[in-house]
Amino acid sequence: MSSRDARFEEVWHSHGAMVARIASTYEADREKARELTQDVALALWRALPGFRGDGALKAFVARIAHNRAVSHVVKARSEPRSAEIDDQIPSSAPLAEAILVESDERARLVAAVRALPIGYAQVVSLALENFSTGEIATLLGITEGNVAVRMTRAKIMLKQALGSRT
Amino acid sequence: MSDWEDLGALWRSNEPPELGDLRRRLRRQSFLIKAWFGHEIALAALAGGFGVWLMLKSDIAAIGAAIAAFAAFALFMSWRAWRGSFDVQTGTPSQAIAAALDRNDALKRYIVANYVISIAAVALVVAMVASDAFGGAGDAARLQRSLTATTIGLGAIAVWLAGCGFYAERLTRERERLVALGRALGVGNG
Repeated sequence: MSSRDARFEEVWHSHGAMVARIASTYEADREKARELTQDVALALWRALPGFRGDGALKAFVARIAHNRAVSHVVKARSEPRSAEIDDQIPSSAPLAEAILVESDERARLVAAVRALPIGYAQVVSLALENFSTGEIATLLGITEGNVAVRMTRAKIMLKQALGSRT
Repeated sequence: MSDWEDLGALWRSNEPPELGDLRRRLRRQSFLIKAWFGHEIALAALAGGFGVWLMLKSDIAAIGAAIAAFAAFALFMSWRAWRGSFDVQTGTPSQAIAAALDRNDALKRYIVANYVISIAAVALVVAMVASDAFGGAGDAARLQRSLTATTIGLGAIAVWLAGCGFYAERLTRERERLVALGRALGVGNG
């Protein structure tokens, strides 16, 4: 395995799950979200040698993921975002009830974030990844005040969608 | 732990995605890029060669020069467009959208240039046939050959222009989506 491959594997192991979450924020269809995740992985593999360590690697990965997702939304013929709750949880799979309930809750959360206006969904998905307000502002190229306003509005919408959890 | 932190923990509870076929996808994409460039280079070489042959060996050197120049131009624009397609944007979303809009504008300029060159080619062909018909020595067989070649040429140009129109329409819709997305994201001039 080349050093480039090893580096990519290491980065993907640390941040691949985040990429999948970002993809699911933009794309409702599971298969298309997987495709988008792979597209981001390809982009990351190409871009990684150019990462000079000027900033956090996590932010670098998130930035590439968001930009690829934006391209994906532009290319999609129809608007992929949907307010519908994803009810395709594989109920016949041999999972423990607790895991099933958590998956169901997670699916509801993902669907609720996806149903937000796209500018809000971006901010919320990054906030849920534990990025600070300043980091989100830098990542998205908007002001911290704008991030705060979007977060406040998005939280109200999420609360309505999910009940009292937020 | 607050509800928001609970949500964050729930949000981050997915498994890392499998990337079993990443290498296959990478190879396929590299193959597609090479195949695309290969066919573009082959077409441009053929067209350019034909243009040079016309310049040197026929009495329609101007058309030959135009074809050779167009081949070089098409190859250059195609290279620019494809290079842009495979760039990885590591800037902000507004920078990514601005880059996509730039590429969209460059492709539109390419389409407009195609229109201009096609119209010029039609005008040139019509002028040559007209000069043959009205100013020549009245060689009916030569005029027949000329009209046949013109019909084929104009047909090819019509198909080419229809393709350009289809592509231009797609570019226009892409631009509209980019602008709308920029507005929705609250970035750029949208």
